[in-house]
Amino acid sequence: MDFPTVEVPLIGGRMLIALVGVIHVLISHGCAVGGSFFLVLLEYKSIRQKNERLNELAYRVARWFFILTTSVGALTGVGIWFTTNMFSPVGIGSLLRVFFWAWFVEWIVFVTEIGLVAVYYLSWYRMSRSAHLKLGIVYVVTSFQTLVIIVGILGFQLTPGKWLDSQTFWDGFFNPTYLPQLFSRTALSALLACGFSLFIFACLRGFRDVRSEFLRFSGAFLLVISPIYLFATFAYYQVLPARAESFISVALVTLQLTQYAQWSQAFFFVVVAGLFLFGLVLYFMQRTFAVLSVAPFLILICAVAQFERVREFARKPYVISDYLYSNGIGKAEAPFMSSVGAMRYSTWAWRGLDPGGGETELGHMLFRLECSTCHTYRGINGVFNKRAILSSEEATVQFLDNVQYSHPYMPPFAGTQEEKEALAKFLVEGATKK
Amino acid sequence: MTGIPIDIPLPLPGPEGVLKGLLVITFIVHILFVGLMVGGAYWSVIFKALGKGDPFYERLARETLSTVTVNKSLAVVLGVAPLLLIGLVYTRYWYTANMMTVGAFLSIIWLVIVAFLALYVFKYSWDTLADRPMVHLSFGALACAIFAFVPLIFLANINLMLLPYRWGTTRGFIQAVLLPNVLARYLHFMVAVFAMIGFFAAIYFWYQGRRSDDAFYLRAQRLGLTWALAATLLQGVFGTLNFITLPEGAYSISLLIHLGAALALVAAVCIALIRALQKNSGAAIVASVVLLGVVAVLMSTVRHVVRENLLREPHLVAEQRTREYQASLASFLQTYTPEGVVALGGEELFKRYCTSCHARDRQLVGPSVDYMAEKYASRQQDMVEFVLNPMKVNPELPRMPKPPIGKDEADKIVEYILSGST
Repeated sequence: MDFPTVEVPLIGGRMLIALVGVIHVLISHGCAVGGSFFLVLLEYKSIRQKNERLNELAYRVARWFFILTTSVGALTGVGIWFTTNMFSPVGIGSLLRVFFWAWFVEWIVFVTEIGLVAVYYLSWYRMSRSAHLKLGIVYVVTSFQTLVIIVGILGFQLTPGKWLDSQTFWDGFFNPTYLPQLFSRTALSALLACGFSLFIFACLRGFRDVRSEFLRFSGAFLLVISPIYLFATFAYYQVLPARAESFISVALVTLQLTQYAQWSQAFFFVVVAGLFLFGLVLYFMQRTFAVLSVAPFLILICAVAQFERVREFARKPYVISDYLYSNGIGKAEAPFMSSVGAMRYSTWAWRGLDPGGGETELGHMLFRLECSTCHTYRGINGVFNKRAILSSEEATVQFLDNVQYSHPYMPPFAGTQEEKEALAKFLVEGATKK
Repeated sequence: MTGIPIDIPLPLPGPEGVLKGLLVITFIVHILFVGLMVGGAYWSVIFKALGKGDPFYERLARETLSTVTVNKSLAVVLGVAPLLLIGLVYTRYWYTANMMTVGAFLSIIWLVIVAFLALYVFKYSWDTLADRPMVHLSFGALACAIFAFVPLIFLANINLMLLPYRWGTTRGFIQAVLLPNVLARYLHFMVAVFAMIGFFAAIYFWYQGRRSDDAFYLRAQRLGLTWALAATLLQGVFGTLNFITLPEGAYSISLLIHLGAALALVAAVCIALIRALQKNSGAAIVASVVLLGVVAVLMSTVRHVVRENLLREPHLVAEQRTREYQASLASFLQTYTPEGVVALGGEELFKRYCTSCHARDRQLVGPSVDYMAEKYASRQQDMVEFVLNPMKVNPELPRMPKPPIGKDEADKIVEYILSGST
């Protein structure tokens, strides 16, 4: 739709979004959604056992959750808006028109949540124990609400379900992947909170006296939650559309890893088995052997990155399934562009290029318009590195003819035959130039 | 060509007027907390630096900083609603402007994270770094420096958005800052920040000290009022500067009426402030704050009128372009029939699914067709199995991805490959 194109050298816009997104998920799920639950549970345990030291420990952990949530968490949340706006303006613009009121409600809950985390932490010693605990429960519920809302929107992109016919809000929101994804993310949040807490605990000084109690609590927590997480994630994989499922094998960090695809299937079992094992050690031995302070945290970072990667990849070649391609071209628009020419309605993709500069310049413009959302020139997923496919202009044209079939996660080329040849020329020239 | 993108073909989720009204309201709330965040950070650094050894300033700095902890978090989260709304109502203008200054725009996130973490260090090391005041102060100063820079990015973009006719000649953030009105508006904002923190301090310390006879509270309250008055009066210069540098086409009668009303109220605010200072009158403080709230609404409305005035004409051009595009797309789709499901032969299927990696007589991404034909010459079923469930064979080549085809299609492809018919 003719927005300016934004190129990030080497890592590409997608990787930038992924970076901001994963940090945000770690903090928002781990420190806020799961963190509130973990802390309130720990606080409850300390009050019931009248253990002042454990209560103090909960307070010190809460400080870090508070700091991370209100700085890195909140800002990367806004950062997701900033980056996705830049790299997928039509996609985000469309989602915003469908889900504005859901996001508006999310915003109200979110403001409440940030207010509550501040009050929860800052009023720790200024309220009676039971009143503070009640406040904590309100905080848990509010944090959970943010997840309840955002999952509707994330699932919609993947499986819009009945929305494609009705285009009504609720059909989009309660889409086929809604419940399993919510379930899985909730369990993930709780696990992340435990991972964060173990790491924070290892950095705190002066809590040796409650060490075994805390580790036992964390161990029990892992033992209970990790099987739930396995079950929920398994259920989520079952409802993923078949098309998406066939991509999971290529949804690794880069296509270079495709040969290890079978590992991707077993990945979540390994994660859960690991967490369960850590839980056993912590619960029965109450020792971390140093490594258990960081291992759950690190293994969960991988799980989050992989989970989001699969989700992002599974909706390809679309931003909104069956409606809008990942490069911002509408499914219905693509044949139109092939008929009248892609360059006819584009002004921004020409910026800095010479419209009279011949085929290569036209090809470059088309690259920006249709490919640059996912591909860099020579960095991550760089087109010019794909020399085997771009062996000749003829082979490249043939590749572009069938790209949506041979690489089903890529959108079709939208443009006239002349434009296709121009793009092929640009690509082959770039690939042969060192 | 204006360069204004074609509109997104989905309806707005509500009446445009309602969404614009919501934008103005949520923005006022956001900017209030931004003001308290920036002003509060400046106050705590300034008074910490000035008040070396003076317990009043030391305490004032510390207590102000503790309000920043909450206010800064709210400033960020409250900004999300106006951010969504501006993206919704001014999609084409706002996104385009941000993309033109993308590096600066995305840096906001990392800069503000650093500023917030610096403020936390400044706060939680207040006692532990007491004997190294310069180190301690530098954390606060870092946050203040970032807070001085970030508004400039927002203002550059919000201004660039309103000037589509300048998009063609504006390259990047620096040139966007130099567009008319950006720097004047920036100064207008930065001065307003000190008025906001002054008002806030007056109320906050009045409330905190309402049941205390500690002289600190009264002194802090009066200091707040003095800053509020001084900053408001300074706007006589900076507000005027902001007004006269507005881009051509921004002015209208409605703008002048709103502005006139706002100015009259500002005068009333100043009078109330002077009374509050002379008589330590709580009622006068309340009156000035209420009046100021009305001023904020009026000023934001003025801003909205400027937006509408500047975008009116470009918007007509943009709408025309969108209508043309939608009309030709619709008429194309009327006659267009998507490719039906036709049963393709082996050769077509091979071209569709295989030729991006396999050529007849040489190795591309995968081995050549000739090689395969020879290898599987007498094992047709094995090859079908392989195509449906590829495994890694040659250690030097990547594993073949599973093609999105069924058994029938695999049969045809294999038959075609083994027939060697080309």
